[in-house]
Amino acid sequence: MSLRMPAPDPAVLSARAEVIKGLRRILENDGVIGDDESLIAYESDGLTAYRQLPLAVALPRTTQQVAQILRFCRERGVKVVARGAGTSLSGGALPLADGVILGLSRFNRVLDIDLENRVVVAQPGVTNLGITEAVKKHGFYYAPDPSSQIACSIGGNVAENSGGVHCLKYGLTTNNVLGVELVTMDGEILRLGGKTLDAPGYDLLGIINGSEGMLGVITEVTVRILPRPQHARAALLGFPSVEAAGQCVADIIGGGIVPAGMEMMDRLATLAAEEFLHVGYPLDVEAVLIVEADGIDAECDHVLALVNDIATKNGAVFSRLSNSEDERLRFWAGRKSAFPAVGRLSPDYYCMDGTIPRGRLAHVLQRMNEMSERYGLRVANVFHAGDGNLHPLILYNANEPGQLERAEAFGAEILRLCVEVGGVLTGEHGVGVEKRDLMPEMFSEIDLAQQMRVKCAFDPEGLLNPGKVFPQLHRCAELGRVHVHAGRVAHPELPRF
Amino acid sequence: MQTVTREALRPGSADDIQAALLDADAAGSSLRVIGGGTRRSMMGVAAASMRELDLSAISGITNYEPEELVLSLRAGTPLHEVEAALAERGQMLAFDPPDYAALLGAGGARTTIGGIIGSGFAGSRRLSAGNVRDHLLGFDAVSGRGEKFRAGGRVIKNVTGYDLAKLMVGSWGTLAVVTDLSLRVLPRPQYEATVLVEQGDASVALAGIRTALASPLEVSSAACLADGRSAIRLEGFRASVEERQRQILGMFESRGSVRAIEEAESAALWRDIRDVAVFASDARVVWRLSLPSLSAATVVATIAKSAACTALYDWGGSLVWLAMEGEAPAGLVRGEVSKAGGHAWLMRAPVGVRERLATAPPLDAGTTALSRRIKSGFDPQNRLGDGPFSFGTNR
Ligand SMILES: Cc1cc2nc3c(=O)[nH]c(=O)nc-3n(C[C@H](O)[C@H](O)[C@H](O)COP(=O)(O)OP(=O)(O)OC[C@H]3O[C@@H](n4cnc5c(N)ncnc54)[C@H](O)[C@@H]3O)c2cc1C
Ligand SMILES: Cc1cc2nc3c(=O)[nH]c(=O)nc-3n(C[C@H](O)[C@H](O)[C@H](O)COP(=O)(O)OP(=O)(O)OC[C@H]3O[C@@H](n4cnc5c(N)ncnc54)[C@H](O)[C@@H]3O)c2cc1C
Repeated sequence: MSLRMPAPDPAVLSARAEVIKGLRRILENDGVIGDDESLIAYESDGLTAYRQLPLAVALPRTTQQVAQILRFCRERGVKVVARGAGTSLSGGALPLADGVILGLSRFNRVLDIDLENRVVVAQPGVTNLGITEAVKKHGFYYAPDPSSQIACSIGGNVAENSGGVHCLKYGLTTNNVLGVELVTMDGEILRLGGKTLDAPGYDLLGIINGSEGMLGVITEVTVRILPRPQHARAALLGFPSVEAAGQCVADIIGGGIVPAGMEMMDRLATLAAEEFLHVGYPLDVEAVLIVEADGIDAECDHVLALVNDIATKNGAVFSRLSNSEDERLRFWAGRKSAFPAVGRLSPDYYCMDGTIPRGRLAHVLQRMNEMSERYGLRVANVFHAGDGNLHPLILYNANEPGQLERAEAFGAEILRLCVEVGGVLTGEHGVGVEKRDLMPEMFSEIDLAQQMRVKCAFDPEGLLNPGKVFPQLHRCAELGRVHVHAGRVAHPELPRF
Repeated sequence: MQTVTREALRPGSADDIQAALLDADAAGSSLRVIGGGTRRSMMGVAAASMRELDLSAISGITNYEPEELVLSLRAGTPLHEVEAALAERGQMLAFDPPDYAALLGAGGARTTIGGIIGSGFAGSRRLSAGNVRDHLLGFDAVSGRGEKFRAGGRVIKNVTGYDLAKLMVGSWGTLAVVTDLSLRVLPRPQYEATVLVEQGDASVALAGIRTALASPLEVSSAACLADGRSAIRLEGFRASVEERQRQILGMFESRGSVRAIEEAESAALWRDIRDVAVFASDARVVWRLSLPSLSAATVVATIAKSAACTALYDWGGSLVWLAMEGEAPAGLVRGEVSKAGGHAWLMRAPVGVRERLATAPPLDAGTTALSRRIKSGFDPQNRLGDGPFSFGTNR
């Protein structure tokens, strides 16, 4: 691995047996893993290029146990990394050699299905899809739908502020979470938000969403559920150029339409998906667009007719409107399996996650093609076209010496490009370890210090998931002195402007 | 109550704000950020040494890209200017910013976008389109330390670093002075209609509203008015709204007398609901309760047993505006509300009452301590005061 993690604390490493013993005492000998062979299952998350065996794994069942574990670890200066399902694509759940993995897999119960208030309270280890499954028979669902939804946990979703293809209309995780129970590193149990539509005081819940497991361990989540739309229909569109497809997206939005989903695939991604599943994607186009409308029939029909007109005006050479649920699912099947499909083209692929202003798409893809030639690596693109979130998939072969490094350098250059055109390093996968060292591309030292001070408010000793998100570790006391203003001003009593 | 003695400072740039903070630092005094001042009565009692920092000169739209659904602007921009620019391109701020100038007796004052962000109150569409916090994408600010910093970005999907934008919303100018910001905007619906139902008391009306909200008919706002009618709003393309309106009318026909109003008439009704016009012209104490919707009617009924009050329910029952005669029985109101898992803002009260009662909902000990540490991270010397909060560093 090319990234440096914080140096393990030798005192903690040598106290391993004692730490394991302490954890066993708290968990009453049920749910502590301490032997290297069993620890291998936890050595990485979805970013498999990075691996590290943890000191130990603890699998508590209750909030009280979580609090005890955190207090115990804090007293001994032991670092802690929370882990949901381990599907993070940015190395957010990557273990530390001198750190305990606190796994939430046993927090797997839906606690309260409150249909009158249209909320569900769940433990953090419940899968994203598990929430929808729990309320399906009542006609409800949980809207954010990451592609990993059968596996990823709702706690991990909160920590990463995960998105899905329906986020354009229904929002990201942060927009759908109303409350959490959180345990801070000193073992204090906090409840932020609840079943109300806003919360008092500073929006601490808002800062927990997307905080990558660095502020506290989430032990309960309250989410909003929505009535399932009566119908959904999708348009499958093909364009002779990326520009035309991009303009079609701009015109759809400019025309006052917020589709339930709007996804674009470039030529290579389309070919891969079609070869894999034979769903009927056009192969003679540069870009495929899937646009979905949902709601009552009148809504779906009206929106799709508008979309079809706009597509025609923008020179679409292929257009199908789904006429059955089967057909709609077929349109989506290719997109949903784009990652494994691309995976068949190459032994390995590296999934990137920048966001760009949509209007810069053609420019970004053009520049990416130039890079692709320079690095000698192919790249396929799937794009959450509605919100500008781009997933370039870089194809490489890890067994060929140097290819992983080249793929990573290519990826970093793509992300720098995203920032250069006014976008950001990550739209939904998180910074983790993967994009940590690119943070200065977007933020000054002062910007980062201000974020780190929030971390310090929750975890002054920096024991929770250190080495993630921030390129440099600062002690909280040092941050107080980062204060870099221009020095004293003369005559403070005089008006200045 | 206004103990501010010196004239307001009117910075024209982030540099000016930085200089003002450094001056305050040197003098050991503090500043109060003012956007338009419409919510000044809620900002807490000003200390004698406090000067106002009036942001009205930091104003104007800097970058508006309708196809990107993003609007960038300076914090002192008056709301009406923002709304006019958006309307021209058929768009809107979906969180439906309320105008409480009349309610709070600040008539004539201009609400600014900074004040909307600083106070963090959303309007009736919050039910379907999210809160203020859900629409702030990124910002530039000067922290209470006098440091210029930025967070977030100009794109809708962004998880790069902590979401500090969330902390700015509803922080009442106590952490940092926002100078520039980017907001997510959305298309304005082509058409709107509201179904009005007259049926029984509030608890019956709210049960009906919950049935509508559990249906897949995409209700965008739902309120139970002070006169007992319920209002259910549908927005979108006309063909779709008309069909949904037909279905909602069908749903309520057997429950009471129903009728529908459309377009301008519907919009005017919702403006009044959002701005709490029904309580604007009297002198009663006004509370703003945030509750799980199922508990709202019960909580109000319990309070009403001991204190005469009138309620307006918005957000499908989850937001309750409560007007009360005479004294503000804070113990009763806050007690009942927090038992139900909600919280209460004291929105309007005579000066004498304000001095005795907290404006902002009190927080538990753990959250208070954490909030104080967050505050110190941005503003360790408390140059920006406590606003309406009581977890500040010097109280
Ligand atoms: C095939 C595939 C497809 C994917 N598709 C999408 C997609 O469409 N959209 C998207 O946004 N993401 C996607 N992801 C990424 C990933 O699934 C999400 O980030 C997910 O939210 C991670 O959840 P998890 O339970 O696996 O968390 P983990 O990987 O276990 O952990 C992720 C981070 O969350 C923290 N964490 C986990 N649980 C808790 C807790 N209870 N308390 C505090 N911190 C916690 C960890 O410390 C870590 O920092 C995909 C991943 C894969 C492998
Ligand atoms: C000298 C002067 C005196 C005035 N006196 C009055 C008066 O007595 N009564 C009156 O009604 N109007 C008065 N006004 C008009 C007043 O400026 C506007 O009405 C007011 O600014 C509108 O307030 P607002 O709604 O934008 O939010 P405000 O009520 O100004 O602010 C709401 C909250 O948001 C915070 N906030 C605002 N902007 C920012 C920002 N950029 N960054 C961080 N936090 C922010 C504030 O600190 C406050 O906590 C006065 C104006 C001036 C210049």
